[in-house]
Amino acid sequence: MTTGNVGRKRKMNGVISGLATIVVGIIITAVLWWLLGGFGFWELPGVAILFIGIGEVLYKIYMAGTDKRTPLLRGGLLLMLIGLAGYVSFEGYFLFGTFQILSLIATVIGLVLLLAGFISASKH
Amino acid sequence: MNNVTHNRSKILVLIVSIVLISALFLRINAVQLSDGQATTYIIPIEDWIKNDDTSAVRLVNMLLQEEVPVYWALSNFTVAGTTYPAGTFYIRTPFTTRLGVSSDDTMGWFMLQAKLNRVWRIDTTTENFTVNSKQLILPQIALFYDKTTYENALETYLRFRSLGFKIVLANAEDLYTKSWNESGSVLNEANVVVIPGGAVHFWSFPTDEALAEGIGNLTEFVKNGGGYIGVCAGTVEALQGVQPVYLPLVNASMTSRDMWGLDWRLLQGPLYINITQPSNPVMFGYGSDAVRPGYGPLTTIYYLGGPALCDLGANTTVLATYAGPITQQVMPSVNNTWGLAAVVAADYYDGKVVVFGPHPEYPGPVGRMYAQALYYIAKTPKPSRLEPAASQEIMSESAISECVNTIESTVNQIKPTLEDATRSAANIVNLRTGDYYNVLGNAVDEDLLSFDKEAYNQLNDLQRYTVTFQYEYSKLNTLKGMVQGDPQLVSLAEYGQAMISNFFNYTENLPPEPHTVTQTDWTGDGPFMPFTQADEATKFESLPHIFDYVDNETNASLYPLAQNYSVVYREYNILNRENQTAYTLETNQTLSDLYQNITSPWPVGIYYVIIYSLFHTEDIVQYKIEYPLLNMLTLADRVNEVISYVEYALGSAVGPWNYASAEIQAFIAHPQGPFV
Repeated sequence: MTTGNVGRKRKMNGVISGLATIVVGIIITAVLWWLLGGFGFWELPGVAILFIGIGEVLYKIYMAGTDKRTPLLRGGLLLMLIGLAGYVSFEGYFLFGTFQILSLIATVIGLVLLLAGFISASKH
Repeated sequence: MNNVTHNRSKILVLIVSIVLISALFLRINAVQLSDGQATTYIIPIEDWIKNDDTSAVRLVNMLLQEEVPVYWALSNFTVAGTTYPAGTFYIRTPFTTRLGVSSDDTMGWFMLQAKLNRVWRIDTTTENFTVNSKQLILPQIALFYDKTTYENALETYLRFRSLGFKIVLANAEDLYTKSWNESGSVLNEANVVVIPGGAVHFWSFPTDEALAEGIGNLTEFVKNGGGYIGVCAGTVEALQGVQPVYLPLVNASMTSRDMWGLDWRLLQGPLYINITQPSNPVMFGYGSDAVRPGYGPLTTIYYLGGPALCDLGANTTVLATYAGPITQQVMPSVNNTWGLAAVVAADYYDGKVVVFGPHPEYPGPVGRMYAQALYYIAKTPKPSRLEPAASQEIMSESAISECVNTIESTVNQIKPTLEDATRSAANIVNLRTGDYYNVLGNAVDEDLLSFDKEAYNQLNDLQRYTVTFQYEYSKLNTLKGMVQGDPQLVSLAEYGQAMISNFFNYTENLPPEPHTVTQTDWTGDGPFMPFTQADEATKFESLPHIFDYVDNETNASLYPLAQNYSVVYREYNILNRENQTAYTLETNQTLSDLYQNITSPWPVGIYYVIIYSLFHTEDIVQYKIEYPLLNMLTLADRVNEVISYVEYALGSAVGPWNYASAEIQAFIAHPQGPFV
């Protein structure tokens, strides 16, 4: 029973921290959107933090009820989301093709790690 | 267990779906669609939170260099529910450019540069509007850079550079050897001439005949539509009411003041001016209705002993008056300065003139004012002086690499020498004999240090540029290969490479610099090695020899002289204090004799020995080192702008992945390139 309470408390803390990250991401995105005039490559910091927050929340929900540590899955998810944030921010800027490629590479690597982590977590 | 696994799978799919949908949504927002509709781009220059106004001016100049029509609103206007003040810049599309790049691509490049240069808000509208405005003409500036400009010309260059203006340095010989409208003449290729502060500039002319020729050319230049900006001494020389009259451009005089007195020196530093004509284009954004912090109701500007204008006649307009000191304690004798004209605009036949008593080139909020003065007086379109000749061959990549290696090794060779020379120049300043308020204060002791420090910055910039240009040249090569089927795009890539080649070609073929270095033999001070024609640098890699010369001279001659001077300087000041606190006839006579001895014209007193010795070394730094470095820097700045513009157009054509491929290939060949 104690373990369940601790587990739920840990889950709630993780979700709250994830939600806080989402809020910070939204605020930064909104401020940069206002300051620099719309959405563009300058939104990368805000979008990245927003996606990280979403990833944290969903990871905590996904791992609810278990004390298993799945760094591969979590790391892969975060890397995929950061890569996605980069690609979304640089998309449309043909001078930033290199950054788009690096973002896609990060996304793909993240996805591979995510799937590997999922498979590993499912086996145990 | 199967249910748990199944639920977790569903959640994972949900995660990925949410993220992909979000990404798709954001991607749609990110794509900038151009529908080809005529659009006006408005730069809200008074939005001080989002837009830096000097950066906005720099961007406007980049557009003007590409012959993009940029308009300057001369009154307020409202469009799409937003009111913009007079002084706002705007660009209407479509337009044609000199390189044939589409207006869509040109404005795309502009918008990207704006984001990277703290001009974050550019409003766009498809709504038509009418406003009284002027189509800007790019100021093609000839800046007087000669003896008697001291560090004023350097500060003016740096200010103009920060605003994106490209400068041609003009010396006295440029002004009297060719007629103002003769092909190849500096005045013929310019539409604005700027005479900065310093001493009486016409002392730079070797003979009365040369002086008459130079004055005649300048007068005719302005009379026939050229613009004139005078600062401090450059203002005094343009006043009709000051004898002798050099340039009869401004119907005004200046207050009578003993220029050798000391009271005016107490005003040195930033002081307040009151903007009396905020509706004049030179003063847009300043004055009592100013929005930007520091731009009103009073504006600060640096003062260095310049004139206060009075007795203004026809065709003159007072734009600003001296309003008061900021931190200076002033003597009653200079209180008649307040309320007198500090900035005046005038018409001289077809030409426009703006003259400043104080110094807008020094740091402060008047950078935009200076830019607006240039835009106001530039009337005649003139072609750019920085484009490569049609005959300019594109250098090979290996030749470029050789140039880069030469420049890098030359800079690395120079730096320790320059560091040593700069330390010695600083030691001269630290002797503290440069007190402006002292009768024996050496007013030029800091000039050498200023030039030395700036030379170091310039060498760093040039070193960075050469590495960048090598990388960009390689990238342009790859991009050129990708667009072989389109002759216009190929010519764009080749133009970028020609600009780079032109820069490196300049470093290999420095034009002759005509100044004769001030000699000091007449002072009886003879330790200086003569600086002869053989010492002149004909290419960048021969500059170290001149730095060695300056370093030796500063250490071996100037510093010991300055030390000797500091001894007599202190001796005089101690005696002067004694004379003031415990006056006796004997002390007073001793003091007077000492002063006469120190400042004797002949045999030359040590006061003039140290000043003219400093002039000697400064001449070498100013003409034999700085002159080519500043010209190289101007060219490099222009090359940098052209490369970014051309690569934008090429990137637009080839797409992001091909562009990335070109970047990666260039990076592999020149890994330092993107990171300097």
